[in-house]
Amino acid sequence: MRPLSNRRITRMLMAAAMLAWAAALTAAAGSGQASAARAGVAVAVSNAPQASPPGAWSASDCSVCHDKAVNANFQHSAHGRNDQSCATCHKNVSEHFKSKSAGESGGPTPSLKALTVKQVNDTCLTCHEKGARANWHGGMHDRRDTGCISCHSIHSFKSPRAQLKTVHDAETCFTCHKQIRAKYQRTSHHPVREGKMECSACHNPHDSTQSKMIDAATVNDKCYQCHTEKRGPFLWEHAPVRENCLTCHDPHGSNHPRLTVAMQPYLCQRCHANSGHPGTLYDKNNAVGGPLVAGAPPSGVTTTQTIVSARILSRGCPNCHNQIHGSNSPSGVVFGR
Amino acid sequence: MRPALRITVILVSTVVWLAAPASAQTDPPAAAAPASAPQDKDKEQSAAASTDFETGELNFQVSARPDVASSRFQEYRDVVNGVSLPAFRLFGSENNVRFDLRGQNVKQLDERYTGFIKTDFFAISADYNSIAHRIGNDGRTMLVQQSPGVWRMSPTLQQTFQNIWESTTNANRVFTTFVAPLFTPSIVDGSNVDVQVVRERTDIVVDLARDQPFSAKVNYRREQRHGSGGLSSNYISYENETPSVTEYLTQDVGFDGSVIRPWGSVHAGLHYNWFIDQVPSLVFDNPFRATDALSATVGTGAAATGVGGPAAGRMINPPSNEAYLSAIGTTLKLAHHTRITADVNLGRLSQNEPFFPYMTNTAVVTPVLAAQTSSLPAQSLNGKMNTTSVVLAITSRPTEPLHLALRFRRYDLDNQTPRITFPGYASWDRTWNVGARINVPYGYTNSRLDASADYDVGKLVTLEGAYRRTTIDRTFRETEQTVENSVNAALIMHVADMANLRAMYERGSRDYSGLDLGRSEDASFGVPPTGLSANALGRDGSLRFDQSRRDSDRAGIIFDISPGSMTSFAFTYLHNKDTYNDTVYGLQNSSYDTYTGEVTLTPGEQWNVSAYYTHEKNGSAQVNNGTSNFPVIDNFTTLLNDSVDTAGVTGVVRLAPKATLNLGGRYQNLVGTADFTTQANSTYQNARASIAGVQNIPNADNARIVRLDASVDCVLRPKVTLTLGAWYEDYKFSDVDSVGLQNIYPGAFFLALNDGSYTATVGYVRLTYRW
Repeated sequence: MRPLSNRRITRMLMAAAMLAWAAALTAAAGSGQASAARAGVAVAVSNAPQASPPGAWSASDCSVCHDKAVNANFQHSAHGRNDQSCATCHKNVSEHFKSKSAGESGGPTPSLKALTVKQVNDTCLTCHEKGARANWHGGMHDRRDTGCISCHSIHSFKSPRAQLKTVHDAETCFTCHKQIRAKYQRTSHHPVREGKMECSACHNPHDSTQSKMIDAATVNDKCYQCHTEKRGPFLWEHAPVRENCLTCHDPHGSNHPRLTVAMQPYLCQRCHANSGHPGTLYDKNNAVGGPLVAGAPPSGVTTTQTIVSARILSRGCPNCHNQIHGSNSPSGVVFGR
Repeated sequence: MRPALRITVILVSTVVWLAAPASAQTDPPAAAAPASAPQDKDKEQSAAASTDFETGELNFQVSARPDVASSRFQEYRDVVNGVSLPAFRLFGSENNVRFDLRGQNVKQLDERYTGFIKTDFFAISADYNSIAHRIGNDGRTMLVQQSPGVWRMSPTLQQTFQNIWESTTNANRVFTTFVAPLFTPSIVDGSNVDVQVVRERTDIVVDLARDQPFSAKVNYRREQRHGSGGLSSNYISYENETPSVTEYLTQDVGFDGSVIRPWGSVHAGLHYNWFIDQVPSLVFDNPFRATDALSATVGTGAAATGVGGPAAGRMINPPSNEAYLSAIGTTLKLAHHTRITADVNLGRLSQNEPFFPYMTNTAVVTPVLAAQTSSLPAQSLNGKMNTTSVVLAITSRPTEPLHLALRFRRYDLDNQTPRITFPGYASWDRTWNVGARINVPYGYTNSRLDASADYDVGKLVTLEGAYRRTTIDRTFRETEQTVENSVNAALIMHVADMANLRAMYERGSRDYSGLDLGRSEDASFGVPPTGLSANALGRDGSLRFDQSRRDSDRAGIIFDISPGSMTSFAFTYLHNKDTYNDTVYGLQNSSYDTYTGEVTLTPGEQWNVSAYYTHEKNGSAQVNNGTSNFPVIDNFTTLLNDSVDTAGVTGVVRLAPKATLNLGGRYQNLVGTADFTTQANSTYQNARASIAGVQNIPNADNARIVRLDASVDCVLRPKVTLTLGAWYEDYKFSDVDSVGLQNIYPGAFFLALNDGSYTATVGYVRLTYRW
């Protein structure tokens, strides 16, 4: 019997989540009404600066002048909650207020744009140096003076997650990694440009411990997270596959099927260079449109291969060597089954 | 209204209805302006009430598109012809309970739903993502899928083909006059096949320690793949291409926690991941035989009439497996931005699925009963691999301008899979290959040391130097160890906020030790074969490129300038080249060069435009020789080259205060070639003397895509936006391997799927309602 489909399970979970959410809201509404009644005070956004500066600067205080920065998007975000003070990140707020109230030009500015990249990063890391960002220091982005606000925006973000300056994280990454933008438009690609996957599915841009900021111990361990059927172990292992998927694949995009770095059969011929049919010449004569008959019918394996051949057509070598990532068949010595 | 849409409207309406009581409670009572700053306690309580909000968005769309035969048009996406719900969102906060529910492409094969509920003490987040990978359409086959992974044909037809084949001598089995006319009518009358696999993934994370000085999260992932993720084939008599069967279920459950203190953090995690292959083999009828038989192979001898093989072939799918993955680590925070990090990851990968027999051919009874598992020396693999990863790192900024980093990583794959000796094997399902073969449990250890230092010279310049050493120790490979040393230098310049320059160069060199050219392949033989051709690498000094001596060069420059706040220009150049020394056969060198120019104009709020152009050049050279004992005269060189031009432009124009025009376009043209250099009187030239000689391939993987987008957003009311839009896509694909592929060729049956060129224009009207 086939297990419940993912769609049905997900809808059940979503319904359960909605019920839990509704229950939480109902419970909270009861206490919320009581506390609102006790408070008897509501927030008022006055249209003029306070006669004297308050002790903690909230978004509503600063919005008197900086209404564009304190927009709805920001107010609804985790940073914009009123229990967060603007002065948490912006320094010299009181001095700035005094200076502006006195009509002075210049004066101390709380803007992060006036800070160095390292100073901005230190500000953000005060709260965010944990989890995936625990190893920011010493990483390539840190060393190349990439600031937090190079990619993230606190006041004008566009992405649904992580408050990026662009809608999709790939667009942020392409700001600097322009050659990857060209690669991801190739015929064979991961579903990044369709919005089904992000750069951060494989990379942790805040990391300093792994090569290329791969979010796993090795490239292969990362690939196995989605391509679990390749994990094995297998009875017959293909050694370069076990060592590094990048020996044959370019995960950012390729014009060759299955994201391979070269077309078949020449990819396999990089290693299987001589002996018999692996090392044979396959030219245009052997491809679509080539001759269909030689002087005599084909007789087994030929090393010269002068007619159209399945070794170059369609998938090339994996036409026959199908289990190229490893085989668990007792007869899978050459990955043929 | 279609049932699917009706259900969607009811679902969304239900959610909206559920939100209604909450929104009624969030309106604050009428406020009086305070004479002075509110007290902290009152401010805290009023702050709690004022953070309550609810917002949402609903998108309805009607779109029209042509019928497009190529699967490429809907690769990873559904392009709807009709009514759809492209997106919705419910987002809000009620007394410190924050919620966010988003949906995309509702009720489509590429639908996605994400959401979270966060309270002060716990949070639940979930993500459901459905991805349709369309491999190809309109394939033709004589077979019919009776159940997942079982492809059958008419027994009568099978017997007819067998009778005709066996009554025709090998000399008369000419492809154009006998084989093609025999099978083509049945293929034409056969079944139509669309090959696709749908990946449905659900991730759920429960955060049990919100806003605590520690974190505790429970994760669950469930991923089901249905359909066919590619093509499979098995040379039973002819290579017979069949859609593979992809019924894969992967699940992962884990716990991750950390303790965060001013001095640093300690984290740990444990995951159990298991993969189930729900249909472990693909079975397909053999068009050449209705009964199992053991006889001479196809085409052996002019008078041979027999054909060996089984009535049905079997391809063994990847076996179910599981993994235990654990991690523990710490980061210590010291003065001067000094961080000391230590991470250890341990993994245990295992697989113990029952073996299938050597082959399906019941006629092979000597030296073993090849179609029965009782003949196997073991009934399963009991495969085990232990992985250990250790990362030690220290970074520091001892003085403000100086930054130091030292990192050591070690990854060990200890393959403990037992070695099993098989008395022989079936290369194709018609003959038994005599000679013991032994499985080879390959393992390796990768150690890498990185050291870097960068120094700020004033405020404008940063100098960087780095050294890297990578050591790989291998078992059962041609070399015991390879060592690669690389040095890197970089210059970074900042000119206020106006200009940035980064330039880098890296040089690397790899060497090997412990060479034994026969070690790898000989390890899989009970008695290794002898002779020059028996050793795949042939000559001393010849080594597979992934272990050979290598010189690497990397260089790059990134420059961007913003002369004002309204304009910016950027230029990037990157160069990579690897040269493999001492590799007599195989890959000799590979290179990649790319440059990009980009301009962005943002003169004001009325309009902005951004455009870029990228050129890439990919090249490689390899030497091969497939004749017996590899006489030098038969060495030939293959030169592969890809040249790619990519361009894109986006623009936004405010037509009126409430109307915005959005334009976009992208273009990519790739030309791939394969050129061959052979020697006069070589075996290859002589063999092609009667067919115009060796021919280069001018259209290896050529592709061109043009995409144009235009839309106008009109704000009809503060909450309602109407969008009129269209996009055009033209995809041209020319590939010598697959364009024009037929269903039957000498030695092979192909599905000949359509994943090629198309042209399409899609128009849409979208209504967005926001509150």
